Amino acid sequence: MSLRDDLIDKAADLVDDKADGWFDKVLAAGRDLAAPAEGDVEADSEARAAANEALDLLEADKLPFLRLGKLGFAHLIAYWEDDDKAEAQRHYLATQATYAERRAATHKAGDAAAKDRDARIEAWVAVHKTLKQVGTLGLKFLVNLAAKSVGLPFSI
Amino acid sequence: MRSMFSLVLVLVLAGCYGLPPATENAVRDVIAADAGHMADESLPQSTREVAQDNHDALWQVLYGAGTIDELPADVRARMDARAATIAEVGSAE
Repeated sequence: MSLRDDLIDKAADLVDDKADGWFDKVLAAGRDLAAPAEGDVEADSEARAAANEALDLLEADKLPFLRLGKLGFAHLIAYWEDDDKAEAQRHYLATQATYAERRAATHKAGDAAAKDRDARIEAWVAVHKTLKQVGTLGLKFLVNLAAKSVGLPFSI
Repeated sequence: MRSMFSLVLVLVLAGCYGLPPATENAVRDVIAADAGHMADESLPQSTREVAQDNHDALWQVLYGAGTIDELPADVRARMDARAATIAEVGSAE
């Protein structure tokens, strides 16, 4: 798969809105940016420079993208640069998102962390319960062994 | 054999105390959101300062959990500035 196809696939994965016409513009821009990157390293760095320039233009509102198209494109560029979807999301949160979007992301992250914490607590409680059971049985065994070794006539 | 067992135990315990990937991702998302708040000039200054404190504190969480080897330079600089202010206020009292 060529870099261009890869980029287009990534764009399709990353877009979060499909408002009229903007997706075609994102794809066209993505093709323009990706085309010189096929081949050698120098061309790749030139393409990256072009991507940065495009991002600057987008940030300055010099291109007539819809807001959501702009965000999708910012995702695309960040993803291309970092090859990491989570990093692209963070780049967006730090540089492009509105207050409400950042706030929603904060709440979502908080919920995810709390859920993760609960899962770990549950797992630990299960392990602890097992250890306790093993400990109880082991204690019984030791007491019985000690009683037998000193000749006491009882067991628990 | 005993040292092998100890090593495994230490690794397991260290694993228990480390941040799981989902939590680390969540913390990094909040850090990114805070960075956006910090730079958002439409927000009141007090809100931006709260976001900045939160941002720096969460970087320290990652640092404390051993997820990162060193704090970002700007966070470190603000921490030093805060420590200096606290020391100054303390010595004045």
